[in-house]
Amino acid sequence: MQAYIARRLIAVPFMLFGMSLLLFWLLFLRPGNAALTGFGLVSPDQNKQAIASLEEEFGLDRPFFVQYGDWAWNALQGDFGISLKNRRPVTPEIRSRLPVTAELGLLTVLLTALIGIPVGIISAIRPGTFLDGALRIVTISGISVPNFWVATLVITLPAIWWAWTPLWEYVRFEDDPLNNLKIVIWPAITLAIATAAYVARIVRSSMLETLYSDYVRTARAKGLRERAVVLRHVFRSSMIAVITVIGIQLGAVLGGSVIAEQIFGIPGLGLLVFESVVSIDYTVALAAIMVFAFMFTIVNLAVDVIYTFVDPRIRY
Amino acid sequence: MRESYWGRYWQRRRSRRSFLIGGAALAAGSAGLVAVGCGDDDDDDEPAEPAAAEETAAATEAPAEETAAAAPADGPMPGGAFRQHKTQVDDGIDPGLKVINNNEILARIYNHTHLYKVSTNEFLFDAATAMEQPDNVTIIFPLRSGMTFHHDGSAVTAEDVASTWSRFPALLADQGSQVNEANWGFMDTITAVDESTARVDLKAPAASAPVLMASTAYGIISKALLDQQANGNVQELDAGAGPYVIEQRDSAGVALARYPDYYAHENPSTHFLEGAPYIDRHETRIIVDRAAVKAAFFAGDIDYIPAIADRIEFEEFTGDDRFVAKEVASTEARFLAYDNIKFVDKRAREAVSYAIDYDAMIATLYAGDGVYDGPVGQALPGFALDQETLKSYRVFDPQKARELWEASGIEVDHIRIESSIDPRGSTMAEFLARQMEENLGVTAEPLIHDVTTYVARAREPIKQWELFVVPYNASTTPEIYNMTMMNPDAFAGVSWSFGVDQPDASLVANAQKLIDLTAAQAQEVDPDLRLQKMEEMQLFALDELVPGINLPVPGHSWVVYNSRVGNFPEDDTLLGGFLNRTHDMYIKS
Repeated sequence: MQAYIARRLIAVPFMLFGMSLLLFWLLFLRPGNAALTGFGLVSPDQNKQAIASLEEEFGLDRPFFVQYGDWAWNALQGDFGISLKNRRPVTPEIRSRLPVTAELGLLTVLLTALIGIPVGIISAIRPGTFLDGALRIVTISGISVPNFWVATLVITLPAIWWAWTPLWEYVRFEDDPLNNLKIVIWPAITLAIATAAYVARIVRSSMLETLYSDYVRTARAKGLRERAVVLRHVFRSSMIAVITVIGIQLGAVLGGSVIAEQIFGIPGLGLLVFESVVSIDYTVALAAIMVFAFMFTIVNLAVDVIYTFVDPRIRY
Repeated sequence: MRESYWGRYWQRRRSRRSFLIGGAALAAGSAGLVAVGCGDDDDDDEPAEPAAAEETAAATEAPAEETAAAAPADGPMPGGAFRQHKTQVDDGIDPGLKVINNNEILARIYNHTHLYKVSTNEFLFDAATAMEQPDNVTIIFPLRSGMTFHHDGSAVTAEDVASTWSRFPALLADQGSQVNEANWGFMDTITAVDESTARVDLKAPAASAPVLMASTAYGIISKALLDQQANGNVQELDAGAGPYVIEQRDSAGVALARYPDYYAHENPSTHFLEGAPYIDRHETRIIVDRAAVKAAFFAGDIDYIPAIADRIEFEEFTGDDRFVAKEVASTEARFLAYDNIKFVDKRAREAVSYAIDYDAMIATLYAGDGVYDGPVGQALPGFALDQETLKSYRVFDPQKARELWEASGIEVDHIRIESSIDPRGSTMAEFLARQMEENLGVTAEPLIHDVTTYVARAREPIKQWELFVVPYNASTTPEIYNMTMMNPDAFAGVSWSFGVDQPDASLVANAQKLIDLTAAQAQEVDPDLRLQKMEEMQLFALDELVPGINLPVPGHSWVVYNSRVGNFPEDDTLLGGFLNRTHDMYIKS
């Protein structure tokens, strides 16, 4: 097990290297850069000089591999450089925004589990009933409806009907936990709708597979209560699928945070990614996306490790 | 089963009771989370205003008392918070370096010699008590006494003014300033005559100089603080002496609180009143999404909603006592630029113009509420050409268009029309593409790009487009308005291939002529003569169709704000960032 974790951890830097190279290349291919955007379309001769001097200062006039190598070497030392757009250091910016998105992600995953698993169980133990049908409609709707639309409705309709909006001035969790939750709960619910619906579908289908298996029939024949059968025997064997799905959904949650943070005005990493990509502030964009990639990689590793605790048959 | 891993695991760790307890805790937690989210905001029923006012009352007790004494009993009252939004974090707050997306900070933490009010065409004096012009190339500003900087309470002197305004050329050349040369290039030297008198010597007479010098870029910076900075700027520092200080500035937004030692305006104007500004706090939140902005406005969380797109959106806010919705003069402008190197033959330029059904454009894009626009935009009615004159230059004649296109021999059979992703610009590009296909007999396609790509494509030496749609807002002077788009020394030179460095002689001649005519009107300080020269300049651009076409603009703009705000500058909101500099606005109790 430890050897497996060590192998996986050794692979992480290589994955991040490949990812960073690809990202750097894609951003490099785009026309323009943040230095250029800062000037807008107005560009008398003096601006040409200024742009050239900015490009030289930031090293934007150097070949691709030189730029990448320089960036990667500094990034390895925890220095993501300075923003091309406003010349502020990137690392403190990432550090201040990461907890915001991490909190949103964790809350979303928590809500996903709290909503998705019970719904899936209820649907599976009452197959073919009205309740099952209704829950299936709800979950399919949850998967089908895009989260940006749900977010827009969550913002707009209460504002029109009751002059109420979940948009509050953002406060950090450590400063005011209750007010922080008042703000973060809404984007978390918005993101959790789709992921919970997906988890519910997976729980239902995997539980249905095992509900009629021999060992479950045996458990019932032994006189076990239905609740014990469902929770100890049926649900337990569905856990692998559920954990896998939740792990994968975390990627969707991180991606969804770009939209949710934008709509709900949450100053997290997702909003930073959006702003930096739009303005080709590639030092910021790269750093933020690499942090996302790192988080996803670690979560996947954690999921693999959790498998061994959930299912003793799994050995690495 | 009992002997299995699971059997051991569950029996050891999870009794039925513990499962039930766990389930109950989970359900309670879940309910709690939802309840927390549904919980009413403390600031909601009783709006944020009293709470914010209470919070700031302690911190700003002294000025509040002063202002209370100064304010008329039945009129504007001091206190309260004005709340607005913006879509992204600023890039810095050095007014000589960054002037985009930070106006609500610059206008309030810095003081300026004067302010220009477009609606009444008057100068309002702030840090200066007057603006003396002994001759056509000299401007003298006697400064007010009692002004102090926020950071150390030191006095504002003429040395600070001279130091601040002298930085523009170096900031542009060395640090890539957003303050273009058109805003300050007319100044030769700025000197401190004595502690309280600043003198500006101009390179040549400049009719728009006093207006341009009223912009937020001219905010006065502490020379002493600036000298301490290794990087030569105050991008992250409050180096001003304005009415507000920064309380919060981060990725969530900006909060400004009243500066307790803000100076009194002893010779008050209609705007810079003794005891003003009345409002205690200004709060700006970062809200990116437009639907969220509208929701926040409907919920009363922000007091002002900018950039109303059209009458249909405007009508969402009418008939509601909570809001004031006003129709005001349009400040929108659109320019259709040629890649002039491809359109060197005037007949090709004319063909494009004849191929556009301008009335259909007004009907389609502005629901019939639109007007023709010229080189000087409609938001400056004193300088703009009248509608009849403009209409005579914007004739729709598809037959003539095809004839001229054929006669020009232009080697373009596919017209690419570049636009940014703004909704009206992209719709306009699509409309124009159809017009070109139907009326010129060419194929055409709109190319819609994000702003960064769009800017880069404008600046490429070899253009990957034939026509380029540019949106922009009106400004307080003709030079920074439509003419910026047409100036061979600015946009037109680099972006529209309309500079004096181009290989085609006729193109260079037109560019040089437009430069000369623009300079002639800019240097004419006699108002009547300037109008004549400005008309000559405009008619030349219209005759030659260089470097592009001023497209029709909406007939109106719309302003919507919360009715709790008094003295909202309805007529000046959209021009020159006036809203952020208003002193007589107040929050109704």
